[in-house]
Amino acid sequence: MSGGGVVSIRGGIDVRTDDLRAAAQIMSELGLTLRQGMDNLRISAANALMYNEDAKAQLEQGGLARARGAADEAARLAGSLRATADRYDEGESRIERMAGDAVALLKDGTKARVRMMSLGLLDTPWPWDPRAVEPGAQLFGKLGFGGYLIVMAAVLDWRGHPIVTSTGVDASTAGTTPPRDIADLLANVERLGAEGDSDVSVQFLEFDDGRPRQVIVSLPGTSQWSPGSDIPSDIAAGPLAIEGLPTAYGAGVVDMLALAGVTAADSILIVGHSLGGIVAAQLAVQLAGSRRFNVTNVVTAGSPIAKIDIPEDVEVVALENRDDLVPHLDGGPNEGSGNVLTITVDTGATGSAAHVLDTGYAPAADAITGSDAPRVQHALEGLQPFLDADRSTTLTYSIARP
Amino acid sequence: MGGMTDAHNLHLVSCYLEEFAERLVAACGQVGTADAQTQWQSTSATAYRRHLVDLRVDLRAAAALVQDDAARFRALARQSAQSR
Repeated sequence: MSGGGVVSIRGGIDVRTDDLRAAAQIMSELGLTLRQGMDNLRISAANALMYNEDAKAQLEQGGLARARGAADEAARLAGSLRATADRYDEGESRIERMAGDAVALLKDGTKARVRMMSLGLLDTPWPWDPRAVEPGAQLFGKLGFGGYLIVMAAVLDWRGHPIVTSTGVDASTAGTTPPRDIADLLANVERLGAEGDSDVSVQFLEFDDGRPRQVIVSLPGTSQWSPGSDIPSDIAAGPLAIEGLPTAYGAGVVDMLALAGVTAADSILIVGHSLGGIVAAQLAVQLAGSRRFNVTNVVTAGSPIAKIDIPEDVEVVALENRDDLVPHLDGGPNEGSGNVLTITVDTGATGSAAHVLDTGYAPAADAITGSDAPRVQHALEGLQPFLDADRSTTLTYSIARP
Repeated sequence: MGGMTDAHNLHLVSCYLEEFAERLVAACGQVGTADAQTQWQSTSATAYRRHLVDLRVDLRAAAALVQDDAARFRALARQSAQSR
C-alpha cells in the first residue's frame, strides 16, 4: 500500500507513516550497504589470503559474523517498518471503507462516541439487539441493520493488527508431498480447519528442472462461531469479507507471507474454504499490483465471492455445491467471467454437510479433475504449475487478534 | 619472499577490516538518524524503536569486533614479516 501521512488510530493516536517509511528506507539501504561491504571485503580478503587457510578461517569467525547478523536485522527491520506503515494506512482505509453512511458518521465528529460505544459493546457477547444499547440505537437508526452489522463486525474484528505466530514446519506426509490435483489442495485446507484453531499454511514448491519456486497458501473457513474472539477467522469476519472489506484474517495472512519469506518472485495460489475463500479472493484484489506478493491463482470452495471484483490476471476456480447456501450469502450469483470459473458440484450432501469440505466438496474433486469440459480443462491447466512440483516444504502459522 | 607477500596480504586484510569497521560505525550513526527523525507514537511502532536501539548496539559491537580482527591481522602481518 502506498500513501502515507498522518493516520489516526483508534484511541486517538496519530502515526506518521511517512516517518516509518523513511526509517525503513534508511534501514534497507543500510542493510544493503553492509552486505555489499562484507561481500567486497570477503572477495578481496579471499584473493589476498589465497594460500593462507588459517587466516581465512579466522576472518570468518570474528566480527564479520556479527556484522552479517546486524545487516540481516537492518533488512528485517526495513520490512517490518514498511509493513507497520502499511498496516496503519490500511487501518485508516478500513474505517473509510466501512460503509457510506458509517463514513459520514465517523467523520462528523461522533467518532469518539462510536469508539466509546464499541468499547462498551466489546464487553457483551454480541449485540444481537442493538436497540437495547443506547449508542447502538443511535447508530442503528442512522445505518439500518446492514450498515450496523458491518460497523459492529468491523469493531469486533479489528482489535489491532493480528499477531502471527509460526507453529513450525509440517513434517507430515501431506506437508512434504507436493499436491497433484484439486483433491490434494482441498485436503490441505481441510487438515487446517479444526474448530477453535486459527492455523493457516504456506507451502513452498520446488522443481528439479530449475523452474522458479511456487507457493500455495491454504486458508480454512470460519473456525469460531462466536464473534469478537481471539481468532480472526471467527464469525465477525464474515460480514466484512462478504462486503469486500478488509479483515484481520486477511491482514494476518499478508503478514504470514512476509514472515515465511515469500517474495514478489513467487507465484502464489491461495486455496480457501468458505471464509478462507473470500479472504483469498480479497487478497487477490488487495495484492494486485503489489510489489511485495504476486497472487496468480485462487481456488475457493463454498465461498460467496460474487461481490469481489477480482483482477483479470488472477485465475479463479470457484467450487460451489449445488445444495450449499453459503456461496449465495452475498445475495448474488457468482456468474464467473473470463478469469473466474464457477464449477457447481453435487456430492449428494445436503444441509450443512453440503458446505463442509470433506462431504460437500472433496468427493467432487476427482470428477472435476476428470472433466472433459473445455473451460474446466483450461482452468486446470492454469493450476498445473502448482500441481507438478518435485518437492515441497510446508510452514504453518496461527493468527490471533491482539 | 613468500613470507613477505603473506605479511603484505595480512596487512592488506587488516586495512579492509579497519575500513569495514568504520562503515559499521557510520551505519550506527544512520540508525541514530532514522530514530531521531521518526515520531514514535504508537505501541507497536515503539517496539520497532526498541529494535532500532538494539540494532545500534549490535552495530557498535560488530564494529568493535571487526576492529579487534583488524588488530589481530596487523599482529599476524608483523609476525609473518619477522619470521621471514
